[in-house]
Amino acid sequence: MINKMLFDNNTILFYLFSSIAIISGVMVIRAKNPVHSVLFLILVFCNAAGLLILLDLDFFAMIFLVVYVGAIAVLFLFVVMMLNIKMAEINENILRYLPIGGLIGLIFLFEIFLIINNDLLPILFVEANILSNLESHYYIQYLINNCLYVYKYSFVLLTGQKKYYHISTRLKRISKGYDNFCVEMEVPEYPLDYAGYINYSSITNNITNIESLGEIIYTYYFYYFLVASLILLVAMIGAIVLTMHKGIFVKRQEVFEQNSREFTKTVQKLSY
Amino acid sequence: MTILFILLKILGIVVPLLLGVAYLTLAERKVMASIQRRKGPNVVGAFGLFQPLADGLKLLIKEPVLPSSANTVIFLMSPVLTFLLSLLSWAVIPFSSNAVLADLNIGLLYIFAVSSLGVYGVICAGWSSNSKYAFLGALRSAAQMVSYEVSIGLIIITVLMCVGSLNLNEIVIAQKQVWFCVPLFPLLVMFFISCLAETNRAPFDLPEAEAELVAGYNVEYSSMGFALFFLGEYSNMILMSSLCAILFLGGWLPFLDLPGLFWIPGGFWLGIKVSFFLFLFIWIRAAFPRYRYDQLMRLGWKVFLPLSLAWVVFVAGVLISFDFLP
Amino acid sequence: MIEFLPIFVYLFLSTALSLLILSLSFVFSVQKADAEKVSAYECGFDPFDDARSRFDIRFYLVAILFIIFDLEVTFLFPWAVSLNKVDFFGFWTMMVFLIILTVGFLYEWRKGALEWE
Repeated sequence: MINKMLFDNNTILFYLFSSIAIISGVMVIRAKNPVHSVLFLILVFCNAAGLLILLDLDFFAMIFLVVYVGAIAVLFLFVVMMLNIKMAEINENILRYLPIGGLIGLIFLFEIFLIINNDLLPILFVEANILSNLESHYYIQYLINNCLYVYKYSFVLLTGQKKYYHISTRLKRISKGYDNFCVEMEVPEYPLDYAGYINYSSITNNITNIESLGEIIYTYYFYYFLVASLILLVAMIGAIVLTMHKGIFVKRQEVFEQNSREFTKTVQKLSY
Repeated sequence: MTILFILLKILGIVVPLLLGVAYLTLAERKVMASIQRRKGPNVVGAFGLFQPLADGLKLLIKEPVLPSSANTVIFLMSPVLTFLLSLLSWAVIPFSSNAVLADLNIGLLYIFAVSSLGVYGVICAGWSSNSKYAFLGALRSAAQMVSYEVSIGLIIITVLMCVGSLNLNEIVIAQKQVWFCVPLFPLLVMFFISCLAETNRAPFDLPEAEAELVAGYNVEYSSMGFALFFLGEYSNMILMSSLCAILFLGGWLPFLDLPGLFWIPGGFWLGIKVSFFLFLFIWIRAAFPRYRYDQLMRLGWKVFLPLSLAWVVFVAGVLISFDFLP
Repeated sequence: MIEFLPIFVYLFLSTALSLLILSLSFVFSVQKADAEKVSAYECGFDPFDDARSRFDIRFYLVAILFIIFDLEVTFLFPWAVSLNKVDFFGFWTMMVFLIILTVGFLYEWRKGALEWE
C-alpha cells in the first residue's frame, strides 16, 4: 500500500519531467554551441509544460507551448543565428567565477528554504496520491466501457438507463443534452456503493481551467488585463522604432493602384 | 492493460494515416494529371496503385548524404521533428463520438500549439544544412508559416465563440442543427487559404519551389530525410483538411439530421469531407500561379489579419446581442 | 489530467517510428562519401563563403509582431469560452483591449513595417 502511494504515475512523471528540466537548464549554460543552448531551453519549456499538465493546468501548459516555445524561443533562435557566433570562441576558465557565483547560488538556495514550509509537505503528498488513485480507477473503468462497446450497449438496453454521471470534468457535456448520443458516450455510472468518500468537489459545478480563468480575468481583474494590452502596445511600438529604417529612394509597390488599373486602357496601339 | 488499449488505438490512427499519406501522393499526381488532360502514373500497378510503394522503395535505397559542413545531430533530427509533430496532432481528432485517442478539453488549443511548433523543423533544417539556399528558404518558410498562424488562431476563436468549448467533439456536436460553414462561410474560405499557406502548399509554396529556390530548406536532404519531410507535409495537409471539416463542415456528422443516417459510422462522413478538402488542395495547386513572397506576406498581414479580427468582433457582437451564446 | 496519458504514449511511439524510418535509410543503402557529394549545393559552383551570413532584420520584426498577435490570440481564448458568463462587461473590456492593439497595428501599417515582407 505504501509502495503504491509512493510510486504511482503522477510521482514518476513528476520526477521525470523535473529531472529533465533541471538537466536541460544546466545544459543551457554549459553548451558550447549557442544554438544547442536555445534548443535545451526549448526542452526546459516543454518539460515545464508537462509539469503544468500534472498540476491540472492544461490551458497554461498549452499556452507555454504556443507562446514560449512557438514564439519566444523562435525569436531567441533568430537572434542566435543572426549573431553567427563561432563555436568555442569563448575559451575561458569557469573556476574563476566560483567564489562569487557560489555565494550567490547559496543565497538563492537559502531563500528557497525560507519559503518551503516542511510541515506542509507530507500531507499534500498523501492526499494527492489518493485522488490520483481514484481517478485512475475510474479512467480504467471508462476505458473498459469504451472498448467493450457492444456489451455496454446491451447493458443499457436491459437497464433502460440512458444518462450516466462521470466523476471528472464531464458534467458540462452531459448537461448540454445529448439525446441520441448518450448511448455512444458511455461514461461510467457514479458508483454509490464505492467504499470510500464521495469527492463532492468534483461533482459540483465543475468547469475547465480555461473557463474559470476567463470568468475572472475580464471582470474582477480587468485592470491588469488592460495593463497587459498596454505592455503589448509598447512592445509593438518599441520594436518598430528600433528596427525600421526607411530607405528614401526605394521604389515600393502600390498594390491598390496596380489592382485598380483599367485593363482596356493600359495598352495602346501605335500606328504609323 | 490500459497501455495496451492505448497502443491499439495509436496503431489504428498511425497505420491508416501513413497509408493515406502514401496514396495521397499518388492521388495528387493523378488528379493534377487529369486537370492537365493527361494520365498520371499508371505503369507500376493497375491504375498506378503501386506507385507509392515504388517511390518509397526508391527513396529507401538512396544514399543519405550528410553534408560535411552540417551540424549532424540537428541535421538528422529536423526531419524527425517535422514528422513527429505532424503525427502528434492526430491524437485529438475525433472520428466518431467515442473514437478519439485523447479526448482533451482543450483539443483545439493543443492542435494550435503543435502547429506553432512546426516552425522548428523548418528552421533547424535550414540552419543545420549550412547552405545559403537552405537557410534563406527556411527563414522565408518560417516567416510565412508564422504570419498565417495568427489568422488561423483568430478564425479558431470565432468558431470557439459559437461553441463555447475547445473540445473537438463538442465543436462537432454543436453543428448538429446547422454546419458552421452556413453562417460563417467567408471564414471557411479564409481558414482554407490560411491552411494552404501554413502547409507551404501552392500557390504559397515559394520557399520550397523548385525553380525559385531549389527546394528551399530541404535541398541538402536525400533519401529518408527527404521522405520524412515529404510525409510530414502531406500528413499536415490531411490534418488541416480534417480540421476544416471538423470546424466548419460538421466533422463526423452526416449531411442531414436524419436518424437513419447515423447508422453509417462517423468516420465515413469525416472521410468524405476530408477527401473533398484534399481534392480542393490539389485542384488549387494545379490551377493557380505562385504568389510572390511579398504578395504572400502582404496577404497574411494586411488582408487576413484585419479581416479575421473584424470577424471576431462582429460574431461576438451578434452572439452577445441576440443572446445566441451557447 | 488522465486524458493526457495517451498523448504521452503517442509521443514516444511517434518518436520511435520517425527514428526507425530515418535509420532505415542508413541500413539499406550504400554510403560512399566523396568530396563533391558532401559539399553544399550552390548550383554547381563551389560555395562562395560561409553560409551563415547576416540576414535581414525584417524576419526579426515579423517574429516580434507574431509574438504580439499570438499573445492577443492567447488572451482571446478564455474570453471566447466564457463569454456567456461575463456578459457585456467582459465583452467591452475585450473590445478596449482590441482597440488598443488595433491602434498599435495601425501604427505599424502606416510606418511600413508590414511592407514588402
